[in-house]
Amino acid sequence: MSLPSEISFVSLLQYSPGGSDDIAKQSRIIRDAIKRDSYVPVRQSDGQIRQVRAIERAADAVKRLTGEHPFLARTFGADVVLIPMPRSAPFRDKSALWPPMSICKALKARGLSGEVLPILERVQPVQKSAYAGRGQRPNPEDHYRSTAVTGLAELPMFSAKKVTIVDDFITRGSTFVGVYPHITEAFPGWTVQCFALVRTQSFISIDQILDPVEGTITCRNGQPWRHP
Amino acid sequence: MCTPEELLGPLNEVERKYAPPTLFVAGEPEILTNGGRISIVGSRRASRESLLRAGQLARILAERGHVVVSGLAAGIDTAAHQAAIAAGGKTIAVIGTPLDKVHPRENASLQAEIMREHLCISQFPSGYPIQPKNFPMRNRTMALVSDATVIIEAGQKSGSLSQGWEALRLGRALFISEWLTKEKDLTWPAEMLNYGARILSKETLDELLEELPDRHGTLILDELAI
Repeated sequence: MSLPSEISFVSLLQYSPGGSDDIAKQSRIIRDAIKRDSYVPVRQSDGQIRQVRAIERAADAVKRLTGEHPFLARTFGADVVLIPMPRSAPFRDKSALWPPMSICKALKARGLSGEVLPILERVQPVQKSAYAGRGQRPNPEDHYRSTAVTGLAELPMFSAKKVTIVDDFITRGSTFVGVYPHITEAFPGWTVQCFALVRTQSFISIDQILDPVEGTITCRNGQPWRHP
Repeated sequence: MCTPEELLGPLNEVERKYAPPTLFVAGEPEILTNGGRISIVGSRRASRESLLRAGQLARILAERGHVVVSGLAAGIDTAAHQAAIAAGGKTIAVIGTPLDKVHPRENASLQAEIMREHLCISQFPSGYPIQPKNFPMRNRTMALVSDATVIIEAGQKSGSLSQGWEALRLGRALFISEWLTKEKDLTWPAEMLNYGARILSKETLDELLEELPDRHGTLILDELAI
């Protein structure tokens, strides 16, 4: 196994874990709603307040912005296969909450994917990156060892040969780097892309939540760094 | 009487799977718009140390403005409710009987106080028989109401385990008292840790607090926020 030294990723939203202004607070409400696949109160243009499922709302934004951002158009489309990122622990119950799978389904429902393949599995738990202290965070190699591709009988018939790994959050990018070799191995000759709905902005203040970007994850000495 | 969605807000399909069709509530539903909601659950015949742990955790959470949820059973549940109230906090009892029944009998005055000044929730209508199967159903509902669950003490066949598994299924945080993970007679802590539960200790208390949404004051999102 050889971990990639650099991969690109695409992200739609950003959130501030510690900011105290209204944008930061709103970003954390959206973070919570995506983590729980729940609803947020949104004031409509007519002044009415409506409960909106955050993941659906974000998928609408991807669809709306695909024309403006070529990197979104490259990442999604009717000929793109989506693979939801596994949770940090194995599933005991197949009906369990799985936000990356919900994101994939919402994107596919909007014509932004041809097929969703839940083939990447967590076979042993790792500590959640968001709560692990420095030095305890699982590194890419931990993610590689704790995941596997299962149940992929044959490759889908899409001439574009593009597959996008979909996660709900990206902190440093360890998970993407760790699972990337599994997907390139399972999809030889395919273009493998990474999409995280929300990126954590721990060290800078944010002035908007909706901020589509294409960035890179660089991996040196087993430690990944995300930019932006 | 209300639906879970009327009480808790819209549910996703994972939450709807085991949500009861109706809930019966007594007390102050606005408690649900306060801080995070944490279930503290465990054995009816808990050790003295576990009762102290439950009370200490409930006090810490109440002092930080969070709401302590439990099942009004003897042992851990009672210790958690009482400590939250004593600390000036709010508590929610999710009970396995109709609102007009009490189980166990010795908690009659505590239940009355919670129904008056806090919040008591039951999925069982008046006249519904009190039977063992109510309690695992109640545990699922308690997991649904709670942002996180903490198991303080539980044997291999404890009802608290059904709440733990449901919390994991719902994608909510599940914490297990650290000492339980060192008990050689218990296999469930290792099993739950394998499926995503975390260990609660002094060092990891912040992880629990991190899991709790801030409900103090509803913030309405601008239409263009996302």
